[in-house]
Amino acid sequence: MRGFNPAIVAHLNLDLDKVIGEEKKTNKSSGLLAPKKTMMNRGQDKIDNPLYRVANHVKILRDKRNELKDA
Amino acid sequence: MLRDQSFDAPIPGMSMTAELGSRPWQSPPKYTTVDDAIEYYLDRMSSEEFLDQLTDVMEMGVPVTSIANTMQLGNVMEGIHSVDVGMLVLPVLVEMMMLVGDSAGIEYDSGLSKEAPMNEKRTRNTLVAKTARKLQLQLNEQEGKEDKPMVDEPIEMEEQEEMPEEKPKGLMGRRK
Repeated sequence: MRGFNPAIVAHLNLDLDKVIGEEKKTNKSSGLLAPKKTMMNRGQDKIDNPLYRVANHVKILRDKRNELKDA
Repeated sequence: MLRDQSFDAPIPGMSMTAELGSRPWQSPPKYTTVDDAIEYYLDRMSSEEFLDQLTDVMEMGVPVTSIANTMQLGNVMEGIHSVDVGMLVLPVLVEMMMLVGDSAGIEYDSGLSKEAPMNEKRTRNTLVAKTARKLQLQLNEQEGKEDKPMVDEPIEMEEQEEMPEEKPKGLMGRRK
């Protein structure tokens, strides 16, 4: 019987499509006084999110692995 | 049902017996961000020595997830990174090791499937193969030594002491 291994949970719960894939298209307001960032989204930039960066690394490695498998 | 008692477990308050900050995990970690930690791991994992050892361990049937967890836990203990950075790094480590396994062309247990029994036979086979390789290397080394010209050295033969013959002592013993 296996003990608790966080690596399994972390790997299985990392949904790449969900973390990387979703990109909401926001309707940009064209006015001069329109705020460039809404206060709600401020600080939630994807690049600032470590999970997003990890998902990117994983995606690169997984793509490489799939390339090897296909070859 | 009786449980196996472990006497190695720490007793309550044991953590306070050492001075605060004397342990590596009590001081600030060396790498604080995920990127730094990933870079550290990728550097370490790209060395040839590490790759050889990793493929050997993976070939033996040790799950990749277990290796990854052990690695990150060890580095937390050494104060390389914090626990939360370790948790975040885990998927990258698992993926990287699987890439190493695939590129080396070995069969490995990812540890991600629910039913992943340890293949004991495979473990034994790889161990046998490893031992055989080691023995072969030793034999080759010995043969290499034997091929070298022997230096003429005077061999001192130990003089064997002549054992005195036992004379028959009995009444029926033959007399010369």
